[in-house]
Amino acid sequence: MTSSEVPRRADVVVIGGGPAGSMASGLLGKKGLDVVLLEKQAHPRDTVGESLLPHFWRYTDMLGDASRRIAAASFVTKAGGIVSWDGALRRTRFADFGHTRPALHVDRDLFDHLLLGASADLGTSVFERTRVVRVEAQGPLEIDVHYVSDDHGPGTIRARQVVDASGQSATVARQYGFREFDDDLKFSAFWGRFDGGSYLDYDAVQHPFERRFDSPPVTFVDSLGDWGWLWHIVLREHVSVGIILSPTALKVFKGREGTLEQKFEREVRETAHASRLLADAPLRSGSVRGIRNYAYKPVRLAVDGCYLVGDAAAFVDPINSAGVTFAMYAGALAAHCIERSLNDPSGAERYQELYAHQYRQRLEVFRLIALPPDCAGAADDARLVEALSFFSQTERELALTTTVLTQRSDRIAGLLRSAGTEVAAVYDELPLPLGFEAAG
Amino acid sequence: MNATDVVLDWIREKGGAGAPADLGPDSKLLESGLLDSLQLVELVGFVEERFGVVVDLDELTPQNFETARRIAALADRLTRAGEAS
Repeated sequence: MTSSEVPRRADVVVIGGGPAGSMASGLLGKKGLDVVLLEKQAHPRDTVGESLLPHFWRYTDMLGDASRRIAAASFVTKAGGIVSWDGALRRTRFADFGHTRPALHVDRDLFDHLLLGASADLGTSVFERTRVVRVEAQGPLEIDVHYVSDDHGPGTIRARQVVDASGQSATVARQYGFREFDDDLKFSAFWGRFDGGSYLDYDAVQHPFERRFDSPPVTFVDSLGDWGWLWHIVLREHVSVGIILSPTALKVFKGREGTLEQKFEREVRETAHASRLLADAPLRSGSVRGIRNYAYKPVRLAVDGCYLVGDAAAFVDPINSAGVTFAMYAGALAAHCIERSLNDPSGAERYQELYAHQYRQRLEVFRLIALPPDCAGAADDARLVEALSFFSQTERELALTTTVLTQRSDRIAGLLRSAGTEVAAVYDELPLPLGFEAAG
Repeated sequence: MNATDVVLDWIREKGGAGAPADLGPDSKLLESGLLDSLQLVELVGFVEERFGVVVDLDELTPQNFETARRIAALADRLTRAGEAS
């Protein structure tokens, strides 16, 4: 986006131009700070994680005219979720939680590009094809960020604070050696793109792909057994399908014959429901990607003036569709704490701790929501009850509903009672077997 | 203006059109979502600046932030503690 020289000093260097990085940089730029964002790829670039909770508008509203750009981009509206889990079929939608603005299925190349553009308009200097090699704390509010740029070669920026929004690259966590896998969530994910086919609306009525802008689709989740599951997400030009596999299922998957693409396609076409939605839809060649053991823990969320946000901080599980929104929350929270640190350097250490405390508290709840039953590894009850006490009634209902739909740990129900409110899950039971009643 | 009103004004300003007309000293701020996790941290910053106090992490409890009255009580307590030391 920018062709000028990379500056040698900045108030804040942000590593990575995904939603967390755009949020943090844009808000800091808005406050008049001198912000440089380094992105290793060039936008628009592909990534996965397309299902957004309607909560995301709260953050894009803060980011210049990002909300207007998103509304104008004609992303597919998400009608809600239908989950087929071990013989039960359940649905829920955000309107029933009082949300008036839509949840979306977003093509991440465009969505992330729009956010980065909004951040640049607020004053962020963006340098793409620029990879951060390492950070080096030189003293209080003095951090050297070493990078290699395709266009400008190697160099160093002296920053007062750093935001690591590098996603699964987890630049700072890897460098400091505290990136630790989560043994309670040992799952792997593979995903790819299908062209066309059909989808379900909120009433489980089946529509051809071409109707996606007229009758909003749901995010459809199909359980695969052993806590594995499949997602079916209708986007503007294609359908995103992904599978989550347990270690046992991964062994079976790897033992299949053929290329990764063939293994993936067989796995998808053997599912009970999703296979029917994709019956006439070819898998797009070259679109399959994967990641093993994707979950890792928030060992530290801020260190030496570096704030870790989004996937660079921790990755829980995609079951909640909360990843992007939560990353934007972290970006906004980091921006606030950094701004205060720069205004009052004597408090820098304390703001860093405040950030880590708040962010960790919410991460622990999201992790609890994702854990299968009988996992020992959640935080202790007292901490979780305190964390849940900060949640609004609506957030509590949504958290409980997510666990009920996917038949996860019922521990959260008891913890919510301890937090002092009666909360009921908000969903419908649909009749089985899924009829795939064609529209009209 | 007393501390409770200062807090209420801040919440009204942040909430914009979303702030309810009957917002009062004992309105539940967390449960209603009027004070979400991000605003909570912004409010801590505001309280620190406005009242010249330091809110330590162990003061960051749901009890202390449940209502505007409670938040004001926390600010008063921290102010007195600061004057005493």
